[in-house]
Amino acid sequence: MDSPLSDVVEGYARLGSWLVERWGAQASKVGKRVDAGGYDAHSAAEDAASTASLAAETGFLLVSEALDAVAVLSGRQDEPHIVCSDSFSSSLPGATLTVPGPLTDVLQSDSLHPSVVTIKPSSLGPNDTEFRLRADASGHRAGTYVGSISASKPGAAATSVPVWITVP
Amino acid sequence: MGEISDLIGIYGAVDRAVAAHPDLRAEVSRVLPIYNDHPDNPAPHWFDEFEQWANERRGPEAEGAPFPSRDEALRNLAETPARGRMLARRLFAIALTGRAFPELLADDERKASLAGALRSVDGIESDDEAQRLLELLVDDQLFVEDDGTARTADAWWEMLLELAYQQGLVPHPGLIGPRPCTGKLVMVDMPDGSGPVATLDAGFESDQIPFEKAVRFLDPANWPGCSDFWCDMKKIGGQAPGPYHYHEVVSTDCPDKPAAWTIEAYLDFGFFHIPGQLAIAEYGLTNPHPLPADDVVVDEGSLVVREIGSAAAPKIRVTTTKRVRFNRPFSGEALALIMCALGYASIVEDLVFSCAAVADDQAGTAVPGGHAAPGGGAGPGGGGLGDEYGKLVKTCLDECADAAEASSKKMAERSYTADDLVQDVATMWARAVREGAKGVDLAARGAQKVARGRVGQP
Repeated sequence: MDSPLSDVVEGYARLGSWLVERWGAQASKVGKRVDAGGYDAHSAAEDAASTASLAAETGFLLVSEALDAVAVLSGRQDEPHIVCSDSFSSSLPGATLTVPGPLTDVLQSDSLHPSVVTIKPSSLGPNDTEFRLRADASGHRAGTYVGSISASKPGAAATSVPVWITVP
Repeated sequence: MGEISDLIGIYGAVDRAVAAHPDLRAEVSRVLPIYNDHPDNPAPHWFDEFEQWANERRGPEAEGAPFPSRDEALRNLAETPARGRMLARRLFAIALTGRAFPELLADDERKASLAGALRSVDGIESDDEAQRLLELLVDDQLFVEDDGTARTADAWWEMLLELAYQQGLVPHPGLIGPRPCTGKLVMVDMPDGSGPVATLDAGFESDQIPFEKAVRFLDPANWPGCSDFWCDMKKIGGQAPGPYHYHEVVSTDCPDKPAAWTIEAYLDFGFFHIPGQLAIAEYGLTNPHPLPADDVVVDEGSLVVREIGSAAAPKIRVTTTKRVRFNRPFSGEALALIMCALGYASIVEDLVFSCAAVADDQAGTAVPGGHAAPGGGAGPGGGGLGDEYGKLVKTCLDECADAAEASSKKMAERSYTADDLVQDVATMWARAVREGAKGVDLAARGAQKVARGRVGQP
């Protein structure tokens, strides 16, 4: 049986991996634009929101994970609050589905980080388009969280599917 | 007293009967499963505490009991037309009464008094029809499937409405709605650490009400016109994209609030609307509520209307969720039954079946806030800050990407201690705050520049 500390480390490992991916992608995107020269006010404006948002989200997630860690270490964390969504449909049969960003509640007071949202299935069968979301909503306020799922497939343009999941 | 008070009087009488005669639980739970007679679950028994609370809430000039007795309530209902969603609630209350008080069915005169409460149901035109409807409501055979297995309460309700509709006793089932009190109770830990809170989660589908018609009643300003329980939902602030601030007053008898159980809450609402597909209303207590003297300590949830049909065969799915806690120590089961009796957690059923189902296409109001997606804030404008920002972005990205990678490696080593955890979190949080603050400062300066540039523009 895993120890509480190993649970903490595992939680941080998942988060760390996700952060590396996000910051790496952001660095690559902005770096290319800076290196290409002519990084102007318009470019800055476009990147400002996404980078500031990522910085804030990083801080928030680290604190959230720290609070979760305290709960895990002290043995106060109960069973997860798992929620499932209605079914959604992708226009790309056989697509690979990913969660590109957090799902935010309509009041914009809370969000479900992609690391707690899973797509069922995350890879659609050749003729399948339907999928659902499953999320660990422990510690989140009640409401309906809205976001998008990215559907991609070799040889086809990636599409975005609006999704939502209600947390009782 | 109003119809809501009468229904509470009936639910209260059932609750007391079950508390006094636990052997009734099995029968009552056939239509209201939360009274299930599993030996591990004590009977909810909510009414005595609720009545005491109502007495405390009422003004000093109030006389008599806050809710009518069962028989008084039945007499009142006989004079009160039941329409819209209140029709479902009336039928359900009478079915429940028949289960909890079988002696009413054994005596012709008393049975007639029970049927009398159905005489004013929309569609019932004679005492004979009222009697036939009562027979269906208390028919044990409707709880048995063709193969002899037991029907669920929801399946019983569907069968009941179908048969009553076939006999011309009630309107189309799609205009009446699901079994009342279907909210699934789950206890959820609050994010603020204040412990578990009762949460009700329910949903239904209808092919009788078009999507765009249904969503025209999501604006809380419409609620008092759809349910007698909502006395007032006054918008007191906020603007697009939200949140919008509302002052809610609910009562078991809005026309006579001082003599009734009446409470208020301050709520924030947000809306999300994809025309023809999805509409969401979400709410929660307005900061700084809850305050120490507030009646409602937790009140948050959402109402979702989704189109799930096709252009040729439209159909909507409606889901609601509500977390609620009063400043009284009710158990989760007791709260679920109070919500059931009041209809507090099922306003969307009233919006759909009492308003949208009978309204013309232009009734109600548009979903507030347009069609904005949440979190869709625009980035700052620019002009002259590009170089500085580019430098900051690059520095920030390099540092943050390196830091995230370093942390990830440490986690992978699995030789992590609690002290390491505290140190790393403190360091990374400080970095995130520092870089975030720089970005916010720069963004604000950019926004100021843009704002100044717009002065004087047409």
